[in-house]
Amino acid sequence: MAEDVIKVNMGELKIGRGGDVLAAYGVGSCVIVACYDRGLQLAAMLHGILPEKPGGRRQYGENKYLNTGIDNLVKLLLKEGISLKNMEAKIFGGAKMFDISNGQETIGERNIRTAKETLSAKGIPVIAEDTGSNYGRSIEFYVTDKKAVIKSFAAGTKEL
Amino acid sequence: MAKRILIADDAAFMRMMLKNILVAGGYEVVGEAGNGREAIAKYKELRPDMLISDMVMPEMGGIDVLKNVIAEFPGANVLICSAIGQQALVIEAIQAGAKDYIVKPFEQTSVLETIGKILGA
Amino acid sequence: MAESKLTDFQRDALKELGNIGAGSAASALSQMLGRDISIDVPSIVMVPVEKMAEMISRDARIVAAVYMRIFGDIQARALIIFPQDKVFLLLDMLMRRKLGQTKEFGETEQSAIKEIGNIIISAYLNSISKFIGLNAVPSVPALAVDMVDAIFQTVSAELAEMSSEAMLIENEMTEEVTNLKSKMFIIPDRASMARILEALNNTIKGA
Repeated sequence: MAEDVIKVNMGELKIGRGGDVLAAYGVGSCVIVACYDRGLQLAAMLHGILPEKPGGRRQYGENKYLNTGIDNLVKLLLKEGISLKNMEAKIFGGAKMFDISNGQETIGERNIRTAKETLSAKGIPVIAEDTGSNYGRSIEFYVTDKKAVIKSFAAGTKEL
Repeated sequence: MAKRILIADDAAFMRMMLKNILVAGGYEVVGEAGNGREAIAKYKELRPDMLISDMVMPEMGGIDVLKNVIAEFPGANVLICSAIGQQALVIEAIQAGAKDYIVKPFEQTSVLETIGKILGA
Repeated sequence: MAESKLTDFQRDALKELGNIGAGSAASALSQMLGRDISIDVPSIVMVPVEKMAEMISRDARIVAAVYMRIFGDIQARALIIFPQDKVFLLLDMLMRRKLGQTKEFGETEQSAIKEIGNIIISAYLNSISKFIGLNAVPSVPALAVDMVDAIFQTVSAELAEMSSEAMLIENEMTEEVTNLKSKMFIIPDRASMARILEALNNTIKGA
């Protein structure tokens, strides 16, 4: 049974069904949010780049911001007939790739924080996470099993 | 008696390389600093015959180190050794009191020659 | 939002600028390694920031990357990457050791890679600065050894906070004996690009 790999690039939001693998490769500071239905074989993956859409101006590419991107992700799943109370999420990424220390919160850290705050505000539990630290990750989320395989150069392979 | 030199550069590798060149040239390396603040502190503590300093360093850059050292020790021998060779910066350093400015990568002989001119006199 | 387009004149002028920078960078690397270094024609392309990481890499190749932020008249990001499987050879050449001698990637070795990156990128900036009369001063270098696309993704995320588009200037340098291929990327933001083009125009037309 061949798996259909659906690549989710920076700033993209894609949906996958049973048998699909939603994948994001070379994830550094970006945060990947995989949101799925507890029972059904349906999931969506967001590849967020920055934490928040700057207020005020109308902008394109809302999927690149984690706050508006997660809004869009939830809307997408709701349209598929999934109810909010059945949604769960797993998040990955938000690493600090370079050894620059200037005391400020890194983009990766802000991304993780915003993703968690946005999901929490919607009442979507984060069931698993592999976030932070200082190495890049590649994530493959198997929609059927709702399982993520995370590969990295620095920390080997994990399953969550 | 060998002239005493303090080296300031955030790259451990560069400090090592300079130390080797200086020792081969008959100088004594009395201390090393990895950032601007440390450079000033060590200068005050060690009072070397010369400070060789990089421009871009954490905590405090070479220009500020230079200004600080010259303010407290007028006439101090400070040699700037940096990868940046842009004219505006070189002029700024010389005007702030640097005795000379070497651009990396440098040849061993020309570094020793430059130091010799400053200290030898 | 109108897409920025370069005229043929601008494109040629930028290529020439890139050549000048690459020549200096290669010269600096050559001096440090004590080897001949050849360079490729630089490639210059304007890209939406989110698409940058996709353009660079096809595979999750592991690289040692030195990253610097550039300030002054030119605000940019600079990145130089070395394939991880050639890093030890690079260090051998730098320290004038027999090829194959370096086996560890300890503090000294990491510092050396950062410094090589610093010197090469600075040499590039020094020469373009001299040519067009704009300052470009780099920050303290940072090092990462990891998947090249994760590294690029992080650099482009930083840029995404400021610009929607950036110019990607890419140079490749090769050391023949070890077949070490190093790629250097200079990524000015849009405002800096406009300044560079104007300064280039003044320099070339004024000559």
